[in-house]
Amino acid sequence: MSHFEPHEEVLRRALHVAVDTIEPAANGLDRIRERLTPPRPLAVAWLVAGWTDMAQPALLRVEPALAGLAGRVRTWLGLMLRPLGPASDRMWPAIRRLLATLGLVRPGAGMSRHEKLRSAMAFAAAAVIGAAGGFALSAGLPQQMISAASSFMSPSQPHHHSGGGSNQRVAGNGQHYGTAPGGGPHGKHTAAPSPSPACSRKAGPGASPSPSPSTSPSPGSSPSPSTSPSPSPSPSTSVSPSPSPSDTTPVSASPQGGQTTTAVYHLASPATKKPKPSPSCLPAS
Amino acid sequence: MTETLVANSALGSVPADWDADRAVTALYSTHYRSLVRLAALLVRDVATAEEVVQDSFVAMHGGWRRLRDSDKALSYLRQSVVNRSRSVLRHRVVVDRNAPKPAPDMPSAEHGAIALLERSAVVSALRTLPPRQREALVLRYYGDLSEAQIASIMGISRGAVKSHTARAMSALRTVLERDA
Repeated sequence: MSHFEPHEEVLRRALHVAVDTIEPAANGLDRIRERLTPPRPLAVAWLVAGWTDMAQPALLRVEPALAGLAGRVRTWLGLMLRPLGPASDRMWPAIRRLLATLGLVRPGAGMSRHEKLRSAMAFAAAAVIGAAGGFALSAGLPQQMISAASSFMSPSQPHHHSGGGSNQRVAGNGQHYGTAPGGGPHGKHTAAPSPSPACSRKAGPGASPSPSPSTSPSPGSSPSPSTSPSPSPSPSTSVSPSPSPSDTTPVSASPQGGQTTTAVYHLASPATKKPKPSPSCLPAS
Repeated sequence: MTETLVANSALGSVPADWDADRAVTALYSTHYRSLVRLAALLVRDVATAEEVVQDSFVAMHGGWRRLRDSDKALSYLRQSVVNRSRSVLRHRVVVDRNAPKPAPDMPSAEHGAIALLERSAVVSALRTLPPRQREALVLRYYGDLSEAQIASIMGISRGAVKSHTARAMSALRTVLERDA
């Protein structure tokens, strides 16, 4: 390669002259460190998203039914166990003997102070572990997801994401992913543009004319037939007069998504009814 | 003598007990600039060169446990820069082939940096070479690397390095003599 030597020097100098004036940006290390941030745990994001999008709306929907069912069961049990009162008193010693055989309690007349203390400590430890788990779940999540989750977790808080904004959720990596309108649990939830979850579950895609549990009397106080889901429309869920041209426009419907709710309530109640609107379905203002 | 690309430079070897963050910081402070310049010679674009080098640092950080031999950190970085520059050039060929030509616009700062690179007749002649020959020349005469190191970085044999270098020098001399 000796015959290349003059060219080698020329090439070496030319390359250095060409690029030695290049100065990279000063924030290179910062940009590298930005990329070095560990990825957000996807499983946690999926769990939270599943909770906020699927489990919580489902629980909100079944909560009144469960409450009514619990009231009925309590009533039935009270009626059934009333004649068995003396017999149940006689059954308790047998139950205690069974528990003592299993080693769950110490054989004796009653629960000792030590056992009570041990049970209380066990419950306290479980509560602490549960709280720590909840905190750990929420610690690594972006603020956006936390705010979205909190807005869904508090039933009395208005849904600011109603209408077009609510069909976006935050994925594990912080990105938004849209939801198919009307398809799946996301679509179901976005079809409820009302300012509160109590109203939104009645305006769901099921278009069921059943009464809203939040607007009916509390099922825990008296399990009256009006609290059970029935196809008959309840006056408590019907509309109140509004300044809009349509008499069937409900109070709870927001301007973004009033079409679905209007159709539901139009079927549910005639426009001539003027019942007292529920406070939970009133507009936020 | 090249400022930092010499193989046995002081901070080319990183203590084995350093963690990845510390190694990245040390190697960045010592070799980032020269690696960007090396990549700029290969991809002919300073901004892309910076991205290439940053990606290489990120990859080195991710594979720090696998590196084991911390002396090879700089070699890993160089190899990563060359490979990623090659990928950039491949992608650029596809984009240039399929994308419509944009209308001429005001020259940007990035365009100014590219023009600065193109100003040299030698660098312009370097552009005409095939990618492997260009890589061999840049690593040999800008990086001042040995044939063995170039062979390791390019993933070819030492004989192939000699062949690429000789052919590249011959072609370069032809181009420069023709232009002169």
